[in-house]
Amino acid sequence: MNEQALAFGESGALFGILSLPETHDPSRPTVLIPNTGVDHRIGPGRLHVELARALANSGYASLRLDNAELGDSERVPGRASVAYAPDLRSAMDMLDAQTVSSGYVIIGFNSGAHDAHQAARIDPRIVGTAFIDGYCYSTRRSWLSSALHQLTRVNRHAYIPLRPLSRFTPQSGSLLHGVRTEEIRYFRTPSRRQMQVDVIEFMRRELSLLYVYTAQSEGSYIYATQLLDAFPILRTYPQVTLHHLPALEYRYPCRATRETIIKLLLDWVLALPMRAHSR
Amino acid sequence: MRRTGILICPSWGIEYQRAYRGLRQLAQTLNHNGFAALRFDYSGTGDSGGDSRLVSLEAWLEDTRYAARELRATTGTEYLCVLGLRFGALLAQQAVATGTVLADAIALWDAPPTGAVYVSNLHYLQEELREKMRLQRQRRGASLVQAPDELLCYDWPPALARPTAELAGLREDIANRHIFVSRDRPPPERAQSLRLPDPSHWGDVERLNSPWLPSASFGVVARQLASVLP
Repeated sequence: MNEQALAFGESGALFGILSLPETHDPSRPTVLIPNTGVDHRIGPGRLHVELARALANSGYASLRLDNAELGDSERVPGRASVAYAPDLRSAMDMLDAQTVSSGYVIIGFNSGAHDAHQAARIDPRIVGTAFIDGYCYSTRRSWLSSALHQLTRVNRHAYIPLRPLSRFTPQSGSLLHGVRTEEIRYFRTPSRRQMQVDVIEFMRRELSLLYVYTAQSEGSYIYATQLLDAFPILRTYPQVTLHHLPALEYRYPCRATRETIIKLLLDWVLALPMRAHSR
Repeated sequence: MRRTGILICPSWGIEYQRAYRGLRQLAQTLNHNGFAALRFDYSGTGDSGGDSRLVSLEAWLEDTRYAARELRATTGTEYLCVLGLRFGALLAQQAVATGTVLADAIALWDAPPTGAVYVSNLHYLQEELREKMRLQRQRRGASLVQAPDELLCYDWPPALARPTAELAGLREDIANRHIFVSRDRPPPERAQSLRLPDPSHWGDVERLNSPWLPSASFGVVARQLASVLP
C-alpha cells in the first residue's frame, strides 16, 4: 500500500489522502470517504484511516478527503454556500485525470452520508453508496414504538441537551470554537417525497446501496426494517443492503466497534459487482 | 521570513482531533507573522504510518526529533521554537530536556501541570463520557466497554500511558526561553506568560468533540512570538 497527499479542486483548495493498493485493478471502483461531522479526514477514532488501509490491503483504492473549510481544505473560491457534493465531484474529476477507475463508491458516516446522497443524485460516475447513520424517516410503527417506549421505560431520565439545538453550519474560525457538536446543524433531511424520487433514480441507475443504522440513530431509527417500511419500493430492489446495529455506539468509541463497522463495509465493497465504467 | 522555525507538537487522541483545524489555523497565522511552521502527526496517529496500538512515548520523542530536523532542512531556519499544545507541551519539554530536540525556545499552550495530572484528567473525562453515554442510551444493557489499552476512543497502550504519567510539569532544568500560554491557569513564576482571550474547554465532557478554534488567541500568540523570537 502507498499513500499520497493530494491537493485538488478549484485553485487546489481541497485536500485528501489517496491510498493505493500494491496492485491496482482498474475494474474496481475507487472509494471516496468524506468527512464525518467536523472531524478532519482521519475520522472519529481514526476510523477513516483504518478503513482506507483495510480497503487498500484488499485491493481497493480510496480517497479520504477534507471537504471545503474542514481539515486541511480551504474555502473553495466562488462558492457561496456550504455544499459538499461538489467537493466529491472535484475529487472524482481529479482521480479520473490520473487513475483508471471503474466508477466510484462513497462511504459516508453521519453528515458524510448526506454528502454521499447528494453526490449520488447528481453524478453518474457513482456506482455505489454506503450511508451510515444517514437520513431516517419515521413510520407508523416507529412512532408507536417510540411513544410506547417513552411511556413504559423504568428510567425516564432522558438525556436532555443543556441548550436547545442551534443552527450552525460547519465553518472555520472562532464561530465554531467550543460549540458542542450536537449543536452543529450539518444538513437538512430531504422531504419524504424527494427521498422517494431519489431512491427511484438510484434504482434506475442500478446503484449498490448500503444503509447502516447504529446507536447514533437510536431515537429516530427504531426497528430493523424501518427504511423498507418507509420506502417499500426498496423491497423489490436486489442491490440494497440494510443493517440495523443499535449496539454499535455513537462515534465508534471502542476499537471493537470500529473493527465491526470496517469489516461490514469491507465485505460490502468486496461484494460489489464489477462493471465497466462508461463516461 | 524570520530566522526561527516553529515546530508544532499536537496533543493526543481526542484533543488532537479537536485541535486539528485549529493548529492549522495557528500555523497559518504564524506564517503570516513571518515564521515557517511545521505540523506533524506522531507515528500511529492521524495520517502517519504505524499501528496505533504499538505507539510509545519514546517513539514519539524520536518523531519530534525527525520533525525538527525536517523543519530545519526544508526551511533553513537558524533557530527553533517548539510549540506544544496540552500533551504536546509535556512532550516538547521532555524532548528538549533530554536533548532529543535542540530548541532555542519552548511555547507551552495549555500545558498540564504534570503528566500525572494530565492522565488523571483523561480518566476522569472517560468516566464522565461513560456516564453521559449511559444516560443517552435508551436501551438497557448497553454500555461503553473499552479495552484496557483504550482511552476516550483512542488507543492508549502502556508504552505511552506509563511514561506520560511520569512526565514532569514545567521543567526547571531547561535553560531555554519558556513562553507559557494559557487562559485558565496562572503561569509559573519563571515563565514568560501570555493570557488568552478564548476559553479552551479541555475538561468539559460536553465539548469533548467540539472544535478547538480560538482564532483570537492565535493572533495574540503569533504576535507575542514575533515580538520575542528572531
